[in-house]
Amino acid sequence: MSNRKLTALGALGVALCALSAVAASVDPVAPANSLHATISVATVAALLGVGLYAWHRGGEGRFGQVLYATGVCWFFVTLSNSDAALLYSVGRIAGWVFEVLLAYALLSYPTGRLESRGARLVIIAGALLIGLLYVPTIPWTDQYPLPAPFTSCTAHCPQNFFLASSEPGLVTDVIRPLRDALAITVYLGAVWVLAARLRLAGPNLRRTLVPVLSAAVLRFVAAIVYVTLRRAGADGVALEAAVLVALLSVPATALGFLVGLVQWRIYSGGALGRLTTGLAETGDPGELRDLLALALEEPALELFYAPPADPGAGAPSPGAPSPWLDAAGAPCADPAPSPRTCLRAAEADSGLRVAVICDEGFRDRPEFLDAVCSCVVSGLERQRLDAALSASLADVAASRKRLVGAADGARRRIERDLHDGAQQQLVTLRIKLELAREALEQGSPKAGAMVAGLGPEVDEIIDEVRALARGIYPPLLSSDGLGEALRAAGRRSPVPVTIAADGIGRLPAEAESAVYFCCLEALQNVAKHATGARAVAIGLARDGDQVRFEVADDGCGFLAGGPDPGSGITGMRDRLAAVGGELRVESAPGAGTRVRGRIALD
Amino acid sequence: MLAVDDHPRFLEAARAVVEATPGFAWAGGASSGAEALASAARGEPDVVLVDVNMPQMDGFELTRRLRRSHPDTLVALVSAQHPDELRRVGGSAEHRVTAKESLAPAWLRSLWQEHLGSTPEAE
Repeated sequence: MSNRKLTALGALGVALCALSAVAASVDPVAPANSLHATISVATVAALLGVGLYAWHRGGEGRFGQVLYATGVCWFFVTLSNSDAALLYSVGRIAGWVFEVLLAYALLSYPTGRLESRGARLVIIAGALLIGLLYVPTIPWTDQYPLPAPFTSCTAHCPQNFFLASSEPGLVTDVIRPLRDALAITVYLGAVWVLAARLRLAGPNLRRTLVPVLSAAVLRFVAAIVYVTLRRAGADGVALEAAVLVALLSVPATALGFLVGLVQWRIYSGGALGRLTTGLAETGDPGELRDLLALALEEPALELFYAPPADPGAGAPSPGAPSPWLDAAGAPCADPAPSPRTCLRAAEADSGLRVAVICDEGFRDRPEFLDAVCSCVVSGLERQRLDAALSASLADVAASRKRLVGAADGARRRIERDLHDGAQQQLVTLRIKLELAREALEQGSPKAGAMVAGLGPEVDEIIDEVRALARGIYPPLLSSDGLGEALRAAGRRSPVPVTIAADGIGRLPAEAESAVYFCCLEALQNVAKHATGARAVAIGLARDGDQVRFEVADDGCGFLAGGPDPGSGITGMRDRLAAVGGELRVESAPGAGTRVRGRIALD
Repeated sequence: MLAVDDHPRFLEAARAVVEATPGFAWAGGASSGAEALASAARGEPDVVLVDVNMPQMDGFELTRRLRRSHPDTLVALVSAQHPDELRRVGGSAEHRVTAKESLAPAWLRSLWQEHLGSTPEAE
């Protein structure tokens, strides 16, 4: 509520109190009744004030509106303190409406809504009773029933301003007793509904409900007593006392609302404070549940959560197991409240869902439960992100280590290849060259053959070095791109390879070498593992800002999802991940193997 | 002379050198330390040419064992690696390692002369 609106409603309240006082002050009757008039004027202020407090502070906004409207209605009731027939009559009629409004406020506390069927039934019955058996009798009512908590007048009161004709016997003898009996029934119904509610509330809510409900019970019991006494024709002290109690119960109700509202604020503020303070220190859902139970002082509170669905998994199938986990992390059925509890759920942007099951009384406090749920969501979300972050950091560290290891391994391999191959060949060549030189020097007949034998050895060394260099980085890849380099690799493969690389063009060097070496690894895997493979198809495609590749064979395949994908595939994944790509391997026994990868280009 | 190396090409070159060196005879090639020890026990060679870098038993270890079992035999260590790099490997301080490509009739002869000079009783 804006401050301007608050000021306006406050000013209206002050004006109504003033008018109410003016109407009462013209009352010429005995000073004994000025107590009644004073209480009734003060009640306007009490109802409007507490109504405004609830309305203004949010949380119970709707209830505040109901209470404010009740206060305005009570203002009209106080007009019956006047000795003017019109004001008196309006006030007495307003008294009937007020009874329904006050019952509504009491039964709808604290949401401003009638949550239970019993409460709705009571209010509908009350409204029907007023509408059918009270209001229609106005033109035939000589005198409004006396005494009543609605007026300070007890005798020689003003006439009914709206009287059309003298009161028929039907009204006096049938309708009045009937409606009194019905009114008592409705009051009893209201008491029963309230008592049931109090019985259902757990200890925390009882604290905030008790002040309101005790005032309400007082109010209804007093009403029942004075209506009964009046009907029974009693007069004197007992009836006067009952009427006074019925009057006093109205401001007492307002006070009960105030105490209840403040109690709730103290409780909910404390609970949310404890919750948010403790949130940073919780490490897992179990601790979070314990924190919730402690913060809300609700030991039986239950917490459930459903981690975000795997984005790649699509919509869950109807027969899929429930995604919900309990606070201990064990899978469980979809959370559902038992008869004495209520459930509140919330969902994070990530798809993480939480559900809190707690005392049924909290059903009336959806804003509070929403605040609790969003605390839980943020706590769990933080835990989830923490875990995801450390997992991906561990992944990155492991992948980095493997890449470094792979690079070192490759260097060691090159060193060994050089040492065992070209270097050894060069060493023997050097020795044989020396032998040939000596043979030439000595004029040996074998000298010519020895020199001639050196030629093929040199050729071998040249081939050896060329193959080694190509293994380090194929020159075709840098000069002609992926398509040509893979075609050359395909020609060396023992299994025939077809290559579809139309329109692939040139890519950034790191993307080209990642795709090339992944395809090469896949080709080597085909040669090594894909028993019975007759053909390999390599496909390269570029769409938009990504390049995709696929190496498919028709070999024996393997059981996908096996425990160890092998260091070759891990190496491919690492290689692609390092340039922002990913790899998928699809295979089934007898159905060949398909290695697919893609790299985002930027 | 016996030559030990896991690279057959070198054994082949060593044989050619031995055959081109008057006074030397080829006693055979061994591709590992174990094989060399067996051959040495059988043939009692005067000279064993050992490559430093071999899998399982390396040249240093083989040299130590040969000197123990055949104290009079001349064991010469050769390597394709640069001698500076070999210094880091254990045992290189007590052994002289010659570059593989130095293998030639003249080198063999001077090695043998030196050996005779240091151990006259071997004559």
